[in-house]
Amino acid sequence: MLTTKNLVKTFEGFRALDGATMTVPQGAVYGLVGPNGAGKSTVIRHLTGVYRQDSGEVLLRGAPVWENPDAKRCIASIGDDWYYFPQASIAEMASVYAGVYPAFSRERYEKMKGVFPLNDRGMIRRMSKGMQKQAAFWLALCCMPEVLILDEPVDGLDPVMRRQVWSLLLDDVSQRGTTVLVSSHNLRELEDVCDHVGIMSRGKVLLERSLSELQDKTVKLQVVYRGEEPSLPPEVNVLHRSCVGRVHTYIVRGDREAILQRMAATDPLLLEAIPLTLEEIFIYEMGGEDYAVREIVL
Amino acid sequence: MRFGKSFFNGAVARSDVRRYWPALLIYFLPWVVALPLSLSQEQGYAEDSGVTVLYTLPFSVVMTCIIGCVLGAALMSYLTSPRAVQTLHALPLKRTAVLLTHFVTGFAMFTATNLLLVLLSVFATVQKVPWAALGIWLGLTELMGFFFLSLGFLASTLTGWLLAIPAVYALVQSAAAAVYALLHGIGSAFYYGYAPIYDLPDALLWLTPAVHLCDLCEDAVVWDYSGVTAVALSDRVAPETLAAVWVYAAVGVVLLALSCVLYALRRSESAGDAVAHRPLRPVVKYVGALGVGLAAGLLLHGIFDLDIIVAAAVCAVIACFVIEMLLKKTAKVFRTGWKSAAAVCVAVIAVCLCIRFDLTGYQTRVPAPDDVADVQINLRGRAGVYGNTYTDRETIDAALALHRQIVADWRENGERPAGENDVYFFFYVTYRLQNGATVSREYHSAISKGSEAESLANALCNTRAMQWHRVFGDLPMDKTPQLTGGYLSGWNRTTGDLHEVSLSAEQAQQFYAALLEDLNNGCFAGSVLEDEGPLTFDLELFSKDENFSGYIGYLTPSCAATVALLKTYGLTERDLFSE
Repeated sequence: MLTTKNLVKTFEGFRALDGATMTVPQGAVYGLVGPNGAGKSTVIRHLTGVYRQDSGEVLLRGAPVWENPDAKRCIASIGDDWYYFPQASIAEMASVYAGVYPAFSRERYEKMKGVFPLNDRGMIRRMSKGMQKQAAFWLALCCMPEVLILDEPVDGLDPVMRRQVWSLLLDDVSQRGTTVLVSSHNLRELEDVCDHVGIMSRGKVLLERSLSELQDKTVKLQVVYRGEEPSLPPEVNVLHRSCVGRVHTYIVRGDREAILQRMAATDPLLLEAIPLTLEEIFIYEMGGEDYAVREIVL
Repeated sequence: MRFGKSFFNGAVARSDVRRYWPALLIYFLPWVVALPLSLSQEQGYAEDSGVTVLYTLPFSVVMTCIIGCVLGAALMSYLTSPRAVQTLHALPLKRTAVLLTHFVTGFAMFTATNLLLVLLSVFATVQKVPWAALGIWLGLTELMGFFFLSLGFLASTLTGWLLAIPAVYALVQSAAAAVYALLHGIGSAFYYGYAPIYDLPDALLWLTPAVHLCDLCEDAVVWDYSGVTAVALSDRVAPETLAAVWVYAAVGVVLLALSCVLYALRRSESAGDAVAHRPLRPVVKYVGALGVGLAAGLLLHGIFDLDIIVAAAVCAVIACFVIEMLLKKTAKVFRTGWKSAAAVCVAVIAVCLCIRFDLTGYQTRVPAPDDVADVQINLRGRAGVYGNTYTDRETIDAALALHRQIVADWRENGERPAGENDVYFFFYVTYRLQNGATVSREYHSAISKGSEAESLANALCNTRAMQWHRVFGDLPMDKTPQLTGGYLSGWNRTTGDLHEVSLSAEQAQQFYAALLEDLNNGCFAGSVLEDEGPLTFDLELFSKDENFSGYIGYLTPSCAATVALLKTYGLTERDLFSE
C-alpha cells in the first residue's frame, strides 16, 4: 500500500537515505526500527510528503505522495515533535484539521472527549508534553485516516495512557483496516502491537518481514553437550554464540525445523529452541551491521 | 472551496486571521491618527479635506511598505521553524494553495483595515465627506499594499530565518541603489576625472520602489492654475503617480507568481537556514563578500586613509567567513572556508588592480572630435564661469583641447597639490556622442598661471558661445529679440554698493545692442584664474514670450558701448571700476 523505492536523500553532503526500499502492506501495523540516525524520521517525512526525495519513489497505492493532496488526505501523522499553532486550543486545531481532511469526524471528536481527559478549549501550549501528545492522537484519529504514520508516538505518555492509545489504534486497525506505520525504539512495546517489522540502518532498510516470519527465521537455541562443544554443521548460520558453564546459546538464522534437525545430529544432551524477542532480533541483526553492544570497561 | 483542487483553503485562512490580526494594529493605529483624527481636527477651517487625504499618500507608501513586510513575515513565519513546516507541509494541500491562501488572507485583512479606516474617516468628516479623495486613497493604498505584500512574500520564500526576512525585504528594494552607490564610490576612489551622477537614473529609481513611490506620491496632488490662485484638486491624482502605482501592482502579480514557484521549489528542510535555496548560497556568499569587502574597504579608506586594496581584501575575507557562518549555522568555518575566502580575496585584489591600472582606459579617454554631437560644460575657476550645453564646433574643440591637456598633465605629473602660483579649478564636461552614448568627466585640479592648461581653459570660457551664454543666458544667438523691458542689478563687492536700474523697452533694446557690440569686440572675455571686475551685474531682459537672465562679470573700460550706456543710467567711473 505504502511503498518507498530506492529512496535517496542527502542533507548538505550527508546521505541520510541511501536507497531505502520498503513496503507497508494494507492493514498492517508496521514497526520501523533502527539505531539512532538510521533514517527512520527522514523516511517518515518523505511518506508524509514533507520532504522531496533526491531520487527514488514514495507511493501510496501506486500514486506519488509528494504534492499530491489526494494521497495525503488518506494519511495522518504525528511527528516526534508535534506542532500546534501558538495560542491554539485543541478545538481550534480541530477546525483546521476539519478544514483540510474531508473525512474528519466531528462525531468521533466528541466521543474522544471521554477518552482523553483534556480541556479542548484550553491553550495547547499550556499543557504538559504528555497531554500534548494525547491531543495529537485525538486529532489524528478524528481525521479517519487510511494510513496513520507515527514517529515515537507514545513517548511522554504515562503507562495507562500508552495502553489506552494503543488500544484505540488497534481498534481502528481492526474496525477500519487502518494501516499504521510506527517508528519507535521501544521494541518490547512494538512487539506487542506490530505484525510487520522493518529494520533500518545507515539509510537503508536492511530487512522487512512479518514479525512471525522474522521470529521463525531466526532461532535462539540453548544446547548442552556431554563433553566438549563439537563443531557445528556448516549449514547452520550462527549469528551469535555465547556460553555459560556447559550451556551454549546460539542465535541461528534459518528455518526452525531444519535447524533443529541439523543440530540434533551433533548429539546434544539438551536441545531447546526459544522464541526470539524483537529486541534480540534487532540487536543480532544490527550486530552484522557492526552495531553490536560493546563491552567497555571504564 | 474546502476540498477541491482549489488554491484557497478556508480553514487555514481562518486560522491565519485568528492568529495574525494583531499585526494589523501597527498599520491601523498610526492611520487612525493620520486620517480620521486628522480630518476631525481640521474640519472647521479646511477648504477641502479631500486634499488632506491626498497629502497622506506618501505616508501610505511608508505604511504599506512596513505592513507588507510584517504581514509577509508573519503569515509565512512557519517556514522558519522545522516543526511548523513539517506540520503545515504534511497537510493535504498543494504548496501553491498554502501560499496563495496566506496571501489572500493577508491581503483581505489589509483591505478590511483600509475599509475600516475609510469608514472612520467618513464619520470623522462631518461637513463634507471627501468621497473622491477617499476613493483615490483606498485604490492607491490597495495597489501599493498588493505590491509590498507580494514583495514581503517573496522575501519570506527566500530565507528560512525570521530575522532575515526584513533584511531580505530591504535588500531587494535597495540592492540596485546600493550597487550603484558602490560603483560610484569605487569610481570616485580610483578614477581621476570620474564624473558621478548624483541622482539615481530612472531605471534604478524604479528598482527602489519605496523611494520612487514616495517621490511620486509627494507630487500626486494636481493643481488648478486657471483661477487667481492655484487650487489643489481633490478628485484626481497626477497621471504619472497613478501609472506608476499600476505598474508596481502589475509587478506585484509577477512577484507573487515568482514566490509561488520559489515556494514550490523550496525544501522543507531549509527552515532555519539563512538562504533557503541552495543554488543561491554561493551567489550570496561570493557576491556578498565581494560587495561588502569593497564597500567596507572604501569606508575604511575614507575614514582612516588605509590603502584601499588592503582594506577591501581584508574586509572581503572577513565578510566571506561571516557569511559562511550564517549559511552553515556554525562558527567553525575557518578550516573549510579558507579556500572560498582566498578566492574572494584574490577576486577583490584583481578587481581593485584592474581599476587602479585602468585597464578600460577610462582615465585617458578623450572622444574624437568627429564623434561629439554636443558638449555640456561647467567651468569654475577664481571667477564663476558657468556653462551650458553647446553644439558649436569652436566650443566642442576647445573643451576637447582642455580635456586632452588635463589628461596629459595628469599622465605627466599625476594628481599634484596646488602650489603658490596655482589655482584650483573645476571642470565638468559631458560629451554626447553621435551614437547617443555620453562620456562624462569631472576634474578638480590645480592649474598653474601661464600654463598650457590655463590658456586652454581661458580659450574655452571665451568662445563666442560661452561668452554669449554668460552675458545673455538662454537668449537665442541667431535672432534679435523684441524686448519689452529689462532690469539691471549691480553689486560692487569692494564698496558694497547696490545699483538697480529698471529698463524700459527702448532702454532694454539699447542695452542689448551695446552688450552685443562689446561682445562682438571680445570685450567680455575673462580668465578662469582672474577675479571678476569689482562691479558685477545680474541682467534680466523681458520679451513678449519669455524672460532671459544674463550676467556681466568682466566689465572693463574696454567695454565702451556698455560703459557709456551705464553712465547714462547714473553710474560713475568710480562705481564701475574702483577696487
